[in-house]
Amino acid sequence: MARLVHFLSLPVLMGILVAAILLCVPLVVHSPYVLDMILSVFLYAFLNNAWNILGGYCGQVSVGHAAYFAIGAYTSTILFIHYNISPWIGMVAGALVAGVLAVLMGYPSLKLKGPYFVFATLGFAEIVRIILTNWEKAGAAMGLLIPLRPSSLIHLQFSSKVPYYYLMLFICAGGFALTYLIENSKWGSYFIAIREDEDAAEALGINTAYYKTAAFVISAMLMAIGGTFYAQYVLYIHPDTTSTLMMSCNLLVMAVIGGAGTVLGPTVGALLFVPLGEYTRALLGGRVQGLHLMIYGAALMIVVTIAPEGVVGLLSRAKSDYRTRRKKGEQETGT
Amino acid sequence: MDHRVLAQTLVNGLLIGGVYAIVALGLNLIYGVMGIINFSHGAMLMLSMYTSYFMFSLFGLDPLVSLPLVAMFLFLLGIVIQTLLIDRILTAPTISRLIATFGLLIFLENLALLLWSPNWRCIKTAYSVQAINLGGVLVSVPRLLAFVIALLLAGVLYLTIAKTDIGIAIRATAQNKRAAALMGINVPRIYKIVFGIGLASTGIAGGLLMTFYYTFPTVGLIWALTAYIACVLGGLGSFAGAIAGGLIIGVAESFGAIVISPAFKNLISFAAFIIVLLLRPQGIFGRK
Repeated sequence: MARLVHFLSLPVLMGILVAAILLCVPLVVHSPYVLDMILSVFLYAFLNNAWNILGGYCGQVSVGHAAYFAIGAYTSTILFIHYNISPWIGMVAGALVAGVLAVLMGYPSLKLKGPYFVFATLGFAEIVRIILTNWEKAGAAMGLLIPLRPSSLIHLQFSSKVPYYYLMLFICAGGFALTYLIENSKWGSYFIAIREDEDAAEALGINTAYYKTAAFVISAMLMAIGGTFYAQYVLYIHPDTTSTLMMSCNLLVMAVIGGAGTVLGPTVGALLFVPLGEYTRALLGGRVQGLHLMIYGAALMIVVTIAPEGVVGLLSRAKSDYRTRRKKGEQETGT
Repeated sequence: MDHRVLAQTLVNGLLIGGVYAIVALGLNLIYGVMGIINFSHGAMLMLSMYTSYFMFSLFGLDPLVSLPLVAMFLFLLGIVIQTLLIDRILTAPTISRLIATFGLLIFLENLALLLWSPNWRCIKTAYSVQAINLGGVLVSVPRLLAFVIALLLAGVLYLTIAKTDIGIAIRATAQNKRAAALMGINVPRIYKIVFGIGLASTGIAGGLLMTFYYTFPTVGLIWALTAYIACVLGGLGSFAGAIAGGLIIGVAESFGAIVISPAFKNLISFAAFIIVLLLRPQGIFGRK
């Protein structure tokens, strides 16, 4: 009994509560607009999570992750259009392609330190974008429209948003659980050791090249899965909506401002940014072109100068400050 | 490919490479001294192009005449940005610094969109479409001017850094800022000057580009990407490297456009870039 009580600690109870609420949302909310917004939050939370495994835990900052997102979206779509292969198989294929490319790109480029790695990821994403923009079979500059099929799980197409909602919820929860598992495993400790001091990690016998590549591969494969889902949801993909610097940087921004290298951070980032972005775009985008993105840019500069360690970092700092202050208070009243 | 096409391609590549070189120079100076990768460099180029454009359309100033003004404006802008933003994030983690300059990029690009619309704008000068025929090779006058002025600027900048007191102070700061501060160098002031010079050199590039290229709010992106490549090719933080990198990229793109297809010319430079990164990450002129 005591064990059960221990198991049902506050975070677990909170988790169950959140899961229950999320499962009930489509029963209460019928507005496609709101569902769409929540879906976007799930998608970005998932993608931020993917970025976070490499960038947050392992400390290898990628500004080209959108490339793997695009690879996932394009692989499943091309297989679907030209070979009539179910997007589910396409999703696996996309993840495999992304994984192989991540090994090919990651193994050599992860030897690079600091800005060089950043530039290598940037260059790779641009190469992917240029190829997609010019490759006829991938729709070139026209992009690809995914042909409509009757609503079914096999085709991963639905006329209502509710099935998409549940699917994305499960995918997002899966990404979340994976991050949690990684953080609490040996791998997570290795990743963090590499982030904190690579030479020291190497000296302690950690095969840094192997674990960095592993983090890259996991991260890229998750991005590709997100890409396939995005393609099936939006039903139209284009190089400029998938593999762009803006998209890559947005992931980085959300993960870091939420709190890189934490399980919750990327989700917090998505929760903060997606609705805010949507709201300011709806409010200002139509009236004054560019204003909402100006606000976004200004907000980034301000937030980074105030809270360089992200919101989760800021909160945990506030919490530890509060604790030390309370302890101090207790000591003072005690004496 | 006959030798005339070959010569023409080489000339075209070298001429545009000169402009790449001075954009890269500004970027490299800032990185070399402060360790900041300025993601907003493209936006600075865009701002300088618009400045040059408005000097022409409002006051009738030829882009070559307004060059010093554009450079001055960018220099002051650099000091403002350094004071308001970069100074506050110098000790922040790399990733926060990336986000700050990325934020600045988005802010400025969209400011331009808001103020000046996404329309393309260009300037028609008397020499815009002139070309000199050198033994069958056509040399575009504005591009030649841009190349010559770019190299002159690079020379002046080199002498400034090599010979003057301020140049010595800049190099000392780049080597070891704490030791420099102990020697009585005002490091924050040097940072302001360096950021100013970095932007001013980009400003010159923008002014020169305006004589034969058009501007729009996101014009800077592709130029800045090319400049990053040039920097890495030559060696991050290396002066000669930025110039060599710029010229190499210019020529590589020019040949790529002829041999493969114009659509893939950027692909060539990115592929070259990744290969160099993997084989010789410190760049051609960089030291380990």
